[in-house]
Amino acid sequence: MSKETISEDIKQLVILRLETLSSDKKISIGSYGDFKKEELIAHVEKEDEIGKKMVEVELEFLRALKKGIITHG
Amino acid sequence: MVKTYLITRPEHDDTTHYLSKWCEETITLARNKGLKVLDLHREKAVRKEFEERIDKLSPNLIVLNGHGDADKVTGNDKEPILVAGDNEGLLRDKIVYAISCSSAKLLGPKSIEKGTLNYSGYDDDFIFFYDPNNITKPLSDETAKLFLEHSNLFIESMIKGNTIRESKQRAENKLRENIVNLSSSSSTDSNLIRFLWWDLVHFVSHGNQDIAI
Repeated sequence: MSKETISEDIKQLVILRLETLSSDKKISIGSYGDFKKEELIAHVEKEDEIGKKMVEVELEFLRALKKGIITHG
Repeated sequence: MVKTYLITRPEHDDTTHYLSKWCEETITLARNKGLKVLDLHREKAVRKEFEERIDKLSPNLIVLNGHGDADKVTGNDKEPILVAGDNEGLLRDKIVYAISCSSAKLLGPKSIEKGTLNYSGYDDDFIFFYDPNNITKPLSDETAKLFLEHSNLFIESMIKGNTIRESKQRAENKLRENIVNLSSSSSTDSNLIRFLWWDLVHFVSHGNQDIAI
């Protein structure tokens, strides 16, 4: 993931999904630090390491959804 | 023979503050169960103290709260206290759980090669959400609870003498339960399911899972 560029479609999908998060909450991503929703979106737009991590989280979830294993193991 | 529980609890930023406060109840439980507790809190969560306590008291269970990456876990002010290829041999014959990013990817397996009984943790970034309005009372933060209670359950189950396999199953079930509950909830936290799923997928255990402390 780290050396690849993110396709525009996926980037927009991830941004749309991040926009649904509450602005009142913060996310802790270990050593990367703590971020607000707006900061996460900026990282995805920049396609930096944190932005790519958000894409990875989203794609992993969508793959699991497709397999139907989220709530059924 | 009295069992010993060593825990590191740096508190130098929001993340470590939350992890530290959430782990307090595991300390209370351990004391109630008659375990000796070595609590490396704040400035005591440094490499020198960590190594000395392990050398002298050989704890049965070690829980590490802190930042990390594939080959290390840090303590107070991000000082590396456990580093693959350096001091992971300290963990020989111990059961270890690291609430820290990615250390179960490389450090965990390396420590097993050096004789650690079991190393559980996360093989990628450990992610959690919290409500900054609750920063002074993390235990009242219902959003953080979604991400952190499985971790406490895991530790508490081990303290109660269950095997690592049983304890991990309980912790995973709690994460899954939170996912299921949120999926039918109108709460704004229902948007966090994908992050809970991430933590569930990356919660791993290396070594013998059929042992208890």
